[in-house]
Amino acid sequence: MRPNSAEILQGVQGSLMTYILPEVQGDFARTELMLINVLLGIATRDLDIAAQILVDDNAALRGLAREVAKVLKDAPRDGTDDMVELLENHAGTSDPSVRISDLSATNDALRDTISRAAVALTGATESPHVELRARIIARLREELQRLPHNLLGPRADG
Amino acid sequence: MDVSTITAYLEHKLPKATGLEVAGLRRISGGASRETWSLDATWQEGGSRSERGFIVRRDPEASLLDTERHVEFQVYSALQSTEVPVPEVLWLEEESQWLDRPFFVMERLPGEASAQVVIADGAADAIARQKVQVLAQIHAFDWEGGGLAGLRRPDVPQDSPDVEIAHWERIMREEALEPQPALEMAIAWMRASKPAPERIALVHGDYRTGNFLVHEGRITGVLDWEMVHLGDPMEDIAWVCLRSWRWAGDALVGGLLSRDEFYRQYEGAAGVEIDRAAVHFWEVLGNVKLAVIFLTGARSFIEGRSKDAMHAFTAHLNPDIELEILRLIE
Repeated sequence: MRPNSAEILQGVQGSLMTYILPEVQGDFARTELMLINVLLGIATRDLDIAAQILVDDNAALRGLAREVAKVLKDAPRDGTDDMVELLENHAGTSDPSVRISDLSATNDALRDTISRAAVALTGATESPHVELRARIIARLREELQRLPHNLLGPRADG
Repeated sequence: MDVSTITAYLEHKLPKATGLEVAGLRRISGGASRETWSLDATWQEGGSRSERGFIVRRDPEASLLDTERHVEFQVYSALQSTEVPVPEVLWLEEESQWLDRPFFVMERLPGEASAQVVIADGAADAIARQKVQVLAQIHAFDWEGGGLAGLRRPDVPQDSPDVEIAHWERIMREEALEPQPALEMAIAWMRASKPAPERIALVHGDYRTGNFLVHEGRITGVLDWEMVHLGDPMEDIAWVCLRSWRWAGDALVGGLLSRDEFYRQYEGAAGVEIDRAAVHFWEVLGNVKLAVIFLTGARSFIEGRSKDAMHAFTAHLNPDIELEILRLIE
């Protein structure tokens, strides 16, 4: 038995805080070390969940791309002429592997296309377009809320 | 930077000084675009002993933000002897011969900048009032008469939103390494929702709790002018109100006072009515700006130009900022 990558990173965190931090002089260096500790924590967590997050997000974005294509086909809007086919193509893709780099490349392509559609919907007043923009925002919000990096803690609206 | 190089520099700048010694050289955390170093120097001059604290603001290897050091120096210089408290700036060095990179030197003022310390101060109410008054004074500064007409500015007040949108959109397109749907939607929303400002004022650009010094219950110096420009003063009002600066984790603006109270005090101090719709617009821009600054830092870290962990850390704050943007433009 040997420690896996996540366990190694956790161990390094413990070592830094236990043995190194007490020896470090200077506010700047201590702050850097504390940040490194936080980053190692993020990396440890991402090792386990990053691929699953991207797989799920890509699937959700494909569904959204299909939905956006349908609305724009039924109710065309200026500036979206070339988007329907592109969205339909993206909706029909699948993840080539579960490597983070491959999943991220697919995610980037999907986000880019949906982003262009969302921009084209800005200022829309017809209900299918207004509703579609709201659904895109809701989808983006869901994705952002899944990223478990609320590092500053809760903040009140207002 | 080490004691011997900064000592040699000070000996060069203070030719009448003898026995010059530097102590307490340390780097201070913070500052979006420049390294900040603090030091104490003592020397003999004219038969008497002199002692002074200095701050050195040195260009970094890579930063969250690419700004012109002479602009920051120029604004500090212009604000000397005004009601806006700023440190005295001493020397600007555009060449790298002394400290490997360009830098400028200013006096070190007494006080604490940490937002957490400031909001826990027993005089927080008084500090909040001063914070508002100083902001009104910044906005009332005669920038034309004060020699600051060369700052980034719109031709007419109504162009302020376009100038700032274009500025931050350009940086986003240069720095982003992946698609940014929330930021793209925000830019489109801003183009469709621009206010029409009626005047041009000096805009600090990063006015918030944490960027001014507090000593014995009063503000002794406004710092971090890296993003200063000319534009709509409502931009600063909105920046003050960003969720990211609610350090107390509640609804208090800058951890100090409610938004309504902030508006009321500013209107009283500045003698102008706050345009709520304009503030909403500038709050969207402020969040975009903050996200773009963090993208810039992330890129420098990813490309190995920066070794500062802060540049990797701040990028992980962007999902929270993007959520706030979506809330504002929904």
